[in-house]
Amino acid sequence: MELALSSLHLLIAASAVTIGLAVAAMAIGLVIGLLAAITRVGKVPVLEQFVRGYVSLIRGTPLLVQLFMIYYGLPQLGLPLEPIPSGIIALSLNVGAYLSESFRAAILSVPKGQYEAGLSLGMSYWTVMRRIIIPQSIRTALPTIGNSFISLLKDTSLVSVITVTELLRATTLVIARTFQPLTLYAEAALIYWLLSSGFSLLQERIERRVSRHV
Amino acid sequence: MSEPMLTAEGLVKRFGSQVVLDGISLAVARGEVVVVIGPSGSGKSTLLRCLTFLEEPDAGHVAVGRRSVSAGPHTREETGVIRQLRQSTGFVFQSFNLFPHMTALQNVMEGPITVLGLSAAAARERGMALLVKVGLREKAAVYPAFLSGGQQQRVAIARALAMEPQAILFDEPTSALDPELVGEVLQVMKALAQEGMTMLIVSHEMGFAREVADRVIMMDGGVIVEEGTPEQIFAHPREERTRRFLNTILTRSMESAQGGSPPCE
Ligand SMILES: Nc1ncnc2c1ncn2[C@@H]1O[C@H](COP(=O)(O)OP(=O)(O)OP(=O)(O)O)[C@@H](O)[C@H]1O
Ligand SMILES: [Mg+2]
Repeated sequence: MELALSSLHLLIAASAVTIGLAVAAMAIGLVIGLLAAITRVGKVPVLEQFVRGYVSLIRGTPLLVQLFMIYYGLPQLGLPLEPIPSGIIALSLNVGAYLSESFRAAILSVPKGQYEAGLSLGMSYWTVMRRIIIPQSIRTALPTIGNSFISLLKDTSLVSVITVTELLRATTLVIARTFQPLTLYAEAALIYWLLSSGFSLLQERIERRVSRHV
Repeated sequence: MSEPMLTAEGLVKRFGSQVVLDGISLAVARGEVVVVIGPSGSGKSTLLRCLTFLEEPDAGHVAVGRRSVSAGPHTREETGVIRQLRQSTGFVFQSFNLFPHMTALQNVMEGPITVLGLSAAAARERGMALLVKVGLREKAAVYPAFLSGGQQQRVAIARALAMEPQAILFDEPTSALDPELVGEVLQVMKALAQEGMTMLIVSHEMGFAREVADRVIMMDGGVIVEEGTPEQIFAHPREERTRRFLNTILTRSMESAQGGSPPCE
């Protein structure tokens, strides 16, 4: 019991790193995902092919391999990266690819009449995208964005293998001292679960707010 | 009637092997109100859409005011002219197509801000004045999902007007509405006509056409079958096709609503 309490504050401190990784990767991933989706829907030459390749590559390989490529592979090309930046880059690229698919589906689900209404006011295609289509797509994509974030939150645990002391690695470090895996892994699980549930609630609130008028 | 405000010459549109517009020419004078009628599939919507290049015509030529464009492929410069042409030609859709993520007022302000470059304050002022004009002052802050069809269509008309267009095209503006909401929209359109707005309207509201139209055009199979004053077309149609079509319309409207369009407020 004492152990459980004394280790808890350590784990809570480490979960700040977990949240930080998830939030940073999500922020970057949203930008990547949106740009990638627009590139594909707008059929931007050359870039479109590149984005297709990127999405296919990310979706077709394990996140762990992507992480190793960046952390252990890039130094061979003369690009050594610290563990935390490596982790954020790998997670961003990963979640960005999945988000781009959600955004693309959301953009394609906006009715043709919305483009026509914008165009008939004299807007350019890109103005229609920026002012009319994208804002509606983001609302449509919100549930999937939320789900991606929750997966991402759990995926951050993979970064522990490249020595980032986030929640999971902090837990294993404590276990190495105390030899109490059951208690500590249970605590870690509890914290992951609470975080996921918390963000799910937040997501529901945001969705309710935003969907009031759509 | 004076110089034409809107002209189309030899418009051709094909979908695959189907010829939907078969070389249509038409001129609408400044301030003229023209109503287009014709059976389903005769190409009325396609005509309106080609006039603003929402549909790319295969051949022909469109002019609005001093701007004119021929069928594509378009140079970069022509693409710009098409955009200006759309700017000066309002389009009111059967299904309204309001922007759902914007309030009524924001819908009306959007074009002036992003296309005309008006300041938010100036656009707001213009937008409010137009909402007042279509009788929706108190709905300014309401999102489209909370407006009736008739109210949505009136916002859509205000949105078109906000660009200060030289002409407005209406594609069956009341046919998606419950019968009791048709009148309020026609009322707004009638007021516009009286102010001298140039209008090309696809509509089967015969009462409205009789009252407001300067000219009625009957289309079938991608061509203009006949045209004339409402009196000529409705009371003394020369063509058999027109007569047959008017009969079906008459039967249909007698079946649905007893009497003409509902009274306005
Ligand atoms: N995008 C399209 N692709 C293929 N065919 C089309 C397309 N748009 C219209 N058509 C066809 O062109 C013909 C004319 O259509 P249009 O919508 O112009 O008719 P309309 O006179 O407006 O009919 P309605 O009274 O039903 O609105 C129809 O046969 C229709 O199926
Ligand atoms: Mg039509």
